[in-house]
Amino acid sequence: MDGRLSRSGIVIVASGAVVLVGSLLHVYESNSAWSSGYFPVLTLPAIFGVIMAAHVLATEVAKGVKTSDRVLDFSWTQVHVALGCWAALMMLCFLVGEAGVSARGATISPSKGIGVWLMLLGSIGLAVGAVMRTTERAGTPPLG
Amino acid sequence: MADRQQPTPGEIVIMAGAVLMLAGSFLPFYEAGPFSWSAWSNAFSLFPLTILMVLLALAIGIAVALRRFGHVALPARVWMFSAAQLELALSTLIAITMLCYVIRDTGALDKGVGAWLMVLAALALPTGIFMARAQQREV
Repeated sequence: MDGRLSRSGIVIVASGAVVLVGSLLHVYESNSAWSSGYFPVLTLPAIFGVIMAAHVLATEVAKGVKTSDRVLDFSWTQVHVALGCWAALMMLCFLVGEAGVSARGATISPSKGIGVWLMLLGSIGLAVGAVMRTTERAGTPPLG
Repeated sequence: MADRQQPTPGEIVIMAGAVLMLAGSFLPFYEAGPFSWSAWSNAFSLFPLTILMVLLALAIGIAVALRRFGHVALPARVWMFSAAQLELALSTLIAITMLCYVIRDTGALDKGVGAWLMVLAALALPTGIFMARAQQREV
């Protein structure tokens, strides 16, 4: 590597940063994704984003950092696709679903904050970056 | 049918895990006094993620059952994943996410039997897949 990020790497690192920042902001009312009641369910997409960004930075920017080519049966590109798509799927589900509750006619429905939108945007970016990575590395055949 | 092979222990664990996941989804996931919410309840960020995980777990169980009992030729690859990789990836992600739901501090809410059954079933899926793979290598 020449120490420069690939296009997919830029998307993944930027999206990972957006998801992480979003998770620290108000996600529901004044709570962040790290607040009690939301951690670790809502935090998981941010953790996936950090893992993906850290791997890209370690392999494409940092010199001398060696990571294994495969994780269990998976290439790192497959790991990125799985984590990125799952993070996006989770955030889409949280967008559609209700974080509050209704019982006996009373409803508690916390309003979505800027954090949840940033996390959604960032997690979609993670999935897009991971898919871009597959085309950049099309020469690497997945095993299985 | 005489030519049909018995399922391996790993495959039984996978199929049982899928059924358990579905059964658990109808039982109380969170409880508070007289109130309870299942995985199908649109509350506490459960639905639709929990149901998506149930459907994916069922799909994995059905795929294993079709391969074993139905002798159905399912696609060997889905996009960049082999069928085995896809099952392992999905089941691992489901297990991690379900663990997060039970680790979560729910304050006054108690975790119901549905939550514990679902996390047990979710953990059974990758366990069964690893068992099935180990048994395949032995053959």
